[in-house]
Amino acid sequence: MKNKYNTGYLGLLWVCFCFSTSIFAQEIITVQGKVEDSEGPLIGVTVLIKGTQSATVTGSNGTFRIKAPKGASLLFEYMGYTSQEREVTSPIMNIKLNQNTESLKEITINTGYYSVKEREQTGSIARITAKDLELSPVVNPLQALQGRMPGVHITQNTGIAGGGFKVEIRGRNSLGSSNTASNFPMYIIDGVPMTDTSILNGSGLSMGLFKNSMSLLNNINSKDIESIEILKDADATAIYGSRGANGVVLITTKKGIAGKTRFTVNSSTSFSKVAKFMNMMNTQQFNQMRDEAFANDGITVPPPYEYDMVRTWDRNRYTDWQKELIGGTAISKDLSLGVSGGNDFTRFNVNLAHGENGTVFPQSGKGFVRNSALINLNHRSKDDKWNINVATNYSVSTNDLPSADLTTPSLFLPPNAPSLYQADGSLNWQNGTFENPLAQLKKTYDSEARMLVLNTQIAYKIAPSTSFKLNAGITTNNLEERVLTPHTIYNPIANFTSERSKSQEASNNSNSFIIEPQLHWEKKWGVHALKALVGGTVQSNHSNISSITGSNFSSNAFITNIGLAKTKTINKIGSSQYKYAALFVRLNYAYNDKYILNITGRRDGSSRFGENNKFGNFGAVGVAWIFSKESFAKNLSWLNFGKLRGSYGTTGSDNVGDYMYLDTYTATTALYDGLAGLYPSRLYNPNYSWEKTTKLEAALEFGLFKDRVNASVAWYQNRSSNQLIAIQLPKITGFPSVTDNFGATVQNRGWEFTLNTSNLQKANWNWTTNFNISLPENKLTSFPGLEESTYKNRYVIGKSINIVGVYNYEGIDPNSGLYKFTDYDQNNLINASDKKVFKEVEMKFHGGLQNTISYKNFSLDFLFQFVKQTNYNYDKVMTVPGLLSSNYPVEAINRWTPTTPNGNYTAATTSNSNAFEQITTMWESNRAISDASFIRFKNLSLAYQYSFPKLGVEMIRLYVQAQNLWTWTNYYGIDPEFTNIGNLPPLRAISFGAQLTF
Amino acid sequence: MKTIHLILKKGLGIGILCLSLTACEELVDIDLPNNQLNTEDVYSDPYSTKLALSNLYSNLRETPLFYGGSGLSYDLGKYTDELESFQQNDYIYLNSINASSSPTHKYWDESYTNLYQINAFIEGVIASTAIEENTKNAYLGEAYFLRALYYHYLCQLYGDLPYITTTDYKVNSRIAKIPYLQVLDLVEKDLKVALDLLENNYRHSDRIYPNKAVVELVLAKNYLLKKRYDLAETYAQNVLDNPLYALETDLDKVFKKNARSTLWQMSPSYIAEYITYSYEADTYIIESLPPTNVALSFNLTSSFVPEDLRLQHWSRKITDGINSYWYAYKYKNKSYNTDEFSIRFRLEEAYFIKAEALTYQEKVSEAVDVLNEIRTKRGLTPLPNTLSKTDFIAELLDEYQREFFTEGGHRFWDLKRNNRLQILETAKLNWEAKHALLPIPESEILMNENLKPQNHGY
Repeated sequence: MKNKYNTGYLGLLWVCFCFSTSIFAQEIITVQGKVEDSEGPLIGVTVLIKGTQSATVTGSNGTFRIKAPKGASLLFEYMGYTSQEREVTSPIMNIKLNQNTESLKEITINTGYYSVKEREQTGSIARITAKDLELSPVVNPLQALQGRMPGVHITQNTGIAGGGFKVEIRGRNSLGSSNTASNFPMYIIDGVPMTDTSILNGSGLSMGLFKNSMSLLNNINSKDIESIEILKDADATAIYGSRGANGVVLITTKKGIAGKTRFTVNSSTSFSKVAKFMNMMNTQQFNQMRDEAFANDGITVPPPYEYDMVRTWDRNRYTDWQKELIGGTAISKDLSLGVSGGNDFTRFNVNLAHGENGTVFPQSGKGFVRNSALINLNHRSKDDKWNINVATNYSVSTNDLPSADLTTPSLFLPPNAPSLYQADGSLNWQNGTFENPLAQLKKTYDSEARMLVLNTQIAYKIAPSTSFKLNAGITTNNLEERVLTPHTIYNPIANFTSERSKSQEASNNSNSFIIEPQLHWEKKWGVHALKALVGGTVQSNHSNISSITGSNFSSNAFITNIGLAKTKTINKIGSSQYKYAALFVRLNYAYNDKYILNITGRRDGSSRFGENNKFGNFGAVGVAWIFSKESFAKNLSWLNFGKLRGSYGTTGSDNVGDYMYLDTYTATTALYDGLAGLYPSRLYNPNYSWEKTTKLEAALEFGLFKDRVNASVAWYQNRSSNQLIAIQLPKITGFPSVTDNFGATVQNRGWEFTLNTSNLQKANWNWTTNFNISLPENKLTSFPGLEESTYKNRYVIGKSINIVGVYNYEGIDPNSGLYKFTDYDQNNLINASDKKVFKEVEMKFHGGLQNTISYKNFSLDFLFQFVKQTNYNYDKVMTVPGLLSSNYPVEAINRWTPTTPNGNYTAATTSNSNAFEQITTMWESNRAISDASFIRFKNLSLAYQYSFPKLGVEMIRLYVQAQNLWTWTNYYGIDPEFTNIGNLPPLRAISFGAQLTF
Repeated sequence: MKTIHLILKKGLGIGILCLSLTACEELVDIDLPNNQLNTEDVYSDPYSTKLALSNLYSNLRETPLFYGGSGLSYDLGKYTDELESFQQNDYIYLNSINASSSPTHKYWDESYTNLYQINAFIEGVIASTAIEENTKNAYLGEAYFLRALYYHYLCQLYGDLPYITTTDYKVNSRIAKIPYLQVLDLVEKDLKVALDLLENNYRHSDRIYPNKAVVELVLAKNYLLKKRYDLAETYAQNVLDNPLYALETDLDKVFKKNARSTLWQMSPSYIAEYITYSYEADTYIIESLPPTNVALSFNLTSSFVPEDLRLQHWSRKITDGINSYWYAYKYKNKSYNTDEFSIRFRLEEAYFIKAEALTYQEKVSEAVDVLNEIRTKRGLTPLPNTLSKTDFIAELLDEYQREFFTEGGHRFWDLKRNNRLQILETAKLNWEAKHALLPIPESEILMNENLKPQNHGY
């Protein structure tokens, strides 16, 4: 063993495990049989050899087959049923299981440093398992969470695979921008915290596509995930101290199951499209508007750049640009091969996956391709003292796309814009008057992201009650990006040559390691049970970024080789370090399994703070009372479980970026007189300290009618004070912001309800329903000095922090055909002093309704997601009617004309400066904010599974899945789920797949 | 197994270490990033101080307020009657700027960012003990000059504004505006300091750093604004008397790197052999039709007589047989640029300042003589000395436009200074009196109410 661990231990362990299967298997007989309940065979029952981790699962007829030592005990476990234990006596065993009311308590929840039984947990944790994750044909696991978890609101930024998500757990705590790290939760994959997503977006090269918000989780195959736990309240998050304020997302990958070596092949193909286009003007409607504009303006000889009017363009052409530019079908293919197995002592799970996701854009690149490998190894020593887990997650994702999203051009091109191609097949520039959108496709973005998460957990049982555990992991994230801009994307009238061709390259690397030694201790005496945990964390993160631009190539053939550019500029080069150290404890006391007290605490040190503020303390108390165990409840036959729990504590946030407390100069790459400059990096403030979020929660959980009905009600109140944010400053200070603490307190309060019912439990039929709804409420409770601060016109005490101050839109002036806004200060001008209306741009409630119906070998699962919210509508981006530079929604047909003075949009014009001046006022008025609620048929999955034991096929599963199938909404815009108007909306995907296990 | 024990021991060790918090301090100590220097260190080394100064110049070259391409020079050309725009809904061309539209942000925001850096540089250099006195003076002189230059233009664009000379954001985020005339006084004060500190000779033979003469020219310009015409005349005369400068007789050489008429020009970003184009040539030259950017306005081209050498050398006509358009051809290198730097000030302006200063001192006849020196060099007949003051001002303004079109927004400044902006009403449909100033960016007023009131009419 010594050598094996010393040299390339991973590889050797692998070999070792492969052989070990045969070494340990002795005196074994093959047992087979069938598991049934009162109504028929049970599929999916776990058959475990007791005292080992060797197990199998019953197949489609309730049959199983396992090799077990004679005399051993087999344990039959199935959710909702009482487990049974039987000694292996004969090779045939038929088992009958009974439904049980108490079985749910067996589910254990990962809380990061320790696990608890779901029914004994004191904290608030939402959980989703592989069963649900596998129902969605998605690229990023976050997509599969939408609508399934109370308190977790996820918005997909773009329909382009490889993009980002906005994740808010119980609302926005920080006054910092909602799209910055100060509002992001912490992500932990197999015990290793993920570094800032900022490394993914530092170069800015993906701006045109992803608005600088790619998600790190794109690098994870959602089918490799066993469970995702989201920690919400103080009890669950305080042990993550300074980083738990916005919630913690724990991702656990799939482990191997002991038993025969099992191969799984999964393949699927999916087809994705934009679900709904906006209804834009056709040529006739557009031309009518144009004619009207010139008539209104009294212009009889249009200027030469009004190409349609001067007949440089054919006025009567019609193209549906949405269909042309974003109307394609993105084809995705997924293929994975998994092997898992092992024996009582050593188990393994390997899954190799390849996924391709095309785009809806015409003749664009390959899109998003991900190759990933998951290797999980677990070993337990014979004496049960050692327990070793090794998890390796490696993935390489590439993205090959046009450098900009074509959604905006598809909405803004006039319907009679010239054709994309000339008769000879070349791009049509219409003598230089047409900025051909397809030229932009030649400006390409490609990226390659590599992610490695390697984690080792070594546990050693020092004494029966005490064990030592070491969690050690490394992550490396590497992103190479390249944007190529050949001169051919420019209008040929500019007469550019390859001298103007440009190649930009950026490289981002982030490496981190974490070491977390822990001591676990537990003891039970009589009705008392005590558990304790002491641990420490040392984490170090080093990242560097560089980006260079090469331009002036002697030929476009060399454009991919930046070395051949005649002009090379280093845009950015730099490195940064982040170090973090902590000490944490947990104490858990249970009395008679009825009263539970859980205390957690953490002392944190972070390099993101100046000398005197490096350390902070965080802690929480959680209590639970399982009242169903009280004698009075024993008589209530309908109540089989009931728990009241509560927690209170503090967590923090250090997501302010590195080095913000330092007074430094940064090197620029712009030269003057051949010298690169140095400029002040920031307004520095050495004194800022930790932000604190105080979380309070009370919840009731219960199970009724033999667990046919399970429900929970939670109420929470999070208050973030000492807000640590980039405080906005007027530009006259030289910088847009300074990092500092802020006396303001933001409160997020809300209710979360879940209801899970088992509606039907029959021999062949099974029907369950899960429902969740979250009702958050955000409020700025205090803000000392608001009147004197730069936020005076931004926030209002007592109102949500998601408000915006806007002009009050009154309607159209029937005489002038212009918009009217309320002139509050009555100075006959509409300017900043009239932004007196505060409108909320936020989500009011959200939730989901999921039904799972199974009949014999079929299972059907469907999910509806609903969100009640307000957001910006299409008026926010729509310009003055009458211009050639935009197409307009058909709603703009209802505009002011002398005969229709009550139109909803201003008069068509091309030169009325009053109309142009007030268009930004309209964008910033309450007219541009409206209801964006929706109900989405989020997910549908239909599967059929069957087994052919004779062929050695354990299971074959055929499935059809759909995502974003249908949306009901009154929203005025292309899709109500967005973070930026003009991004490609989330796509409707339909997927067909098959899975084979043998 | 030994290894595992080792790992465990290490782990335990760290755990124990962590228990003592002093050790934890070390665990969270980090190095400076490799592209950043402590501010103290920057100013304790002459070379890094020079780099901090170099940054102030590259800022100036690229900042919209002074940018040779599509910056203020270009925008004011469209805003007034100098350039015709061929871009659809060009808000600047249509005079439809409001307080939240981007042009006003562009000039305000970046200028103040750069001013912060200038102020930080001045503070750093003054506090520094590592830089010798001569260098210190030269650097400070340049920095005070740069600060004055920004405010000289900003106050003409925005009127009353805060004159920031410190780096304290707590003060500056609440700072109030001061009246336009006081801003001019402070500009004068900074320029006078710069005048004392700077040498007559250039720090670089390419004239890429300002010398005394540059400061004198800007002082003269500033005195015109203050209506101190005697002083404006004096400082313009100093420049005219300076033997470093002479008018170029070949008009094709005026915008070349080695022109003797140049007072100050910008060093380009890249090493000379790799510059691909000059910003101005790239912006104004039209190579095919119809134009999609800008062309010289009819108003401008029609003010030239055919024998005007500037029409022949500094502009070009392009035609498709039906329509023809004129474009600025002062800078000619649209590719392979090796001999054009962006010129900020040239000697000709001193003649114009002198002529204008004389006019307002009621010495119109002398003013005509001064202007005629330029006119004759440009192939025009001299103006008669009998012109009335009003007529001469009209001639002067036309001459300004013919000489300085597409250079730094001259047309707007010249009309405004001579109180003649209303003549734009004929060429610009939407022109209103309020357009003499840009609105202060709305977000600035929302964050700092001491910047109220907003400029009239916005």
